[in-house]
Amino acid sequence: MEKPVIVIKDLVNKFGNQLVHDHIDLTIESGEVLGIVGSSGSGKSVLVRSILGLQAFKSGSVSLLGHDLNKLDYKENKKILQKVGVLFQSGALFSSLTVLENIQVPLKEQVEVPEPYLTQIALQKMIMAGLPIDAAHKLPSQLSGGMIKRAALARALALDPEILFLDEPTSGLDPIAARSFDALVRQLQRTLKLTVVMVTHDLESLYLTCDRVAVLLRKKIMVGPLREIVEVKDPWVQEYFSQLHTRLKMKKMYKERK
Amino acid sequence: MTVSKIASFMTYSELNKNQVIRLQGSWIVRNLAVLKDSLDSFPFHKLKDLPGCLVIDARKIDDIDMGGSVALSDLIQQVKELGLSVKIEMSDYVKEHLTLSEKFVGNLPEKSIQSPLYLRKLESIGQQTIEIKNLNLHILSFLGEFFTRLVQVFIVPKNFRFRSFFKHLDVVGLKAIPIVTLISLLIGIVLAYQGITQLSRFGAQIYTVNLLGLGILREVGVLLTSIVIAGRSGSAFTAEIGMMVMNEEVNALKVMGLSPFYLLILPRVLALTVALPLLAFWSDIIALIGGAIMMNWLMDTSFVQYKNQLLGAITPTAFWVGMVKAPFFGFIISFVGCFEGMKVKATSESVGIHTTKSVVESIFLIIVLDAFFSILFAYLGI
Ligand SMILES: Nc1ncnc2c1ncn2[C@@H]1O[C@H](COP(=O)(O)OP(=O)(O)OP(=O)(O)O)[C@@H](O)[C@H]1O
Ligand SMILES: [Mg+2]
Repeated sequence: MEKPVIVIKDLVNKFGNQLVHDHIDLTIESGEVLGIVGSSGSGKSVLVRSILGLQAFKSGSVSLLGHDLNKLDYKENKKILQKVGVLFQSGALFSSLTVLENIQVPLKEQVEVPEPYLTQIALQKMIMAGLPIDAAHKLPSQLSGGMIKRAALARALALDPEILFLDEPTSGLDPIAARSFDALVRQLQRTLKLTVVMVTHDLESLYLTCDRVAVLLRKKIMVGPLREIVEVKDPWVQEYFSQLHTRLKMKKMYKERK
Repeated sequence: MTVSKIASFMTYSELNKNQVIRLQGSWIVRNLAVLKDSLDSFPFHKLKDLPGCLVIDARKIDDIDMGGSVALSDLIQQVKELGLSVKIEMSDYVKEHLTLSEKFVGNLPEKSIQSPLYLRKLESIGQQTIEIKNLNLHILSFLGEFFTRLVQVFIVPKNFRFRSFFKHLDVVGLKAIPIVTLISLLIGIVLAYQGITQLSRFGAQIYTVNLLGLGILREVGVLLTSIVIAGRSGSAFTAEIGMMVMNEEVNALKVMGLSPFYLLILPRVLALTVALPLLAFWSDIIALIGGAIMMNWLMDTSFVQYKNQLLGAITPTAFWVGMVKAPFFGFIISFVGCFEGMKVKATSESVGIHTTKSVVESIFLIIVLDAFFSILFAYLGI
């Protein structure tokens, strides 16, 4: 068995008096798709930021690919981060660069890919993320909300990362696009053996892509395969997973709607 | 059999009339720069000369990813273009990556054909002319709306945001005192020193006080303060409002039926219009004190002597001539700051451009207006 890619031990996050994570442990295995769920404000984004070394935590330890990012020097840090792609919740595209240039940033700055491959790969990722070619020369401010998500995904995928962090990738996408996104994640995971850490509120996406699910609940974390998590006897967990409506159920609900 | 090593990624060999390109190493995105070099230095033209089958043997590739597959496709493409029959041998692992990579290919749309240089120059002149016209209209409409709102605020004072006004008064006025004090003191010292060294040649060093009094009160105090404040507060106005435009905060206000003029612009402009005269007054006093310190130190002029000489030299007019300009300068700085802020587009770059513009334009306009005042006062004989 391969070594786990992310190991979190005893992590505590606190903002002023507000405790967000209370001594949580989490291990993410190589090649799995882990979904992180939890109510709004339960600390999903904070968890992802802690793993990526973007946020100083109160106590505990986080290791990414066997290293603690906070203890590495610039060069080693850069090497590790080349293997990581991140899709931020708000996109975080560079506002003065076009979509194509945004995707080229990691290719150019992190590994110095030469032309014409630079353009070819950027286009490849754009198409893969489902963007139309004529969006290539648009600025982020000229994109729709869903297109921003796709452009950010394309940028996160640019370097063929080993680990992909996705913070609400399907929010803002229409259902068809969301499902094709799920299919893409599965395909990449199968072919490229990607490890995917996905924060999501999209239950369908959870069912279709994730191998395991982590639930952030009352400052603690619960991890397990989806079929085990849905059986957990907790009112919040029960209510959360009962929100998934099958098409039949929906038709019935629609008919009964007043 | 001849074997020639091209690079660690590709080896070329001939085997029973067959030509073999053997690929090895890590064909990954991080190695693309080296991969491209080996491809570029590969003698594709030599392949043409020999008959027989051409084999690309990719079974020895250790590692491949989607980025690296692009180089592999490139190689296959280049060989195929030579018109030779090609056989490709690869592992399933490589094949999967190559298939995935080739599934997503596209070409950038062609840039539209460029018109000749003289036409483009002509077009750019025309465009700039139209832009200047639009800019003028824009300024005029901004100015118009500003004064309309100002009048409305006088009619319905409850529309005026006093809290915001006082907050800005604090930030641009009170909090600016340390820097204005320091710079004024230093300029007072510098001017006094220059006056003393020049005038002492005629034994007229005491007239340094006259020079200081008139120079500082009429020009230096207010001009200095305005330039410091343009750099300090004008730029801040542009950046603040610019970020709000970028984040669509201004749009959020608009759809709530709130005018950015009431909430953002009027409080800022009025605060600075009030604050600048006060700061200029403070600057006058401090600069004169700086002069007094220098006179006392170099010429042993006592402070009483300095005061008497000063009061003999200046008139209230000298003071008011300087002071009357201050609110106009304050208005210009804040108005330009807010105007440029509202023009920010949705890129971080444009925040920078407009902040720079705001400072440069307001200092330029201050100096132009100062010259205009000088001409006016000369005409009026003040
Ligand atoms: N920099 C910060 N300073 C103070 N509090 C913060 C900071 N960042 C996050 N928080 C708080 O931590 C909590 C968790 O925030 P987080 O962004 O992780 O929520 P989330 O689970 O991602 O929610 P959502 O699903 O809405 O994105 C929130 O209560 C938030 O207010
Ligand atoms: Mg979040």
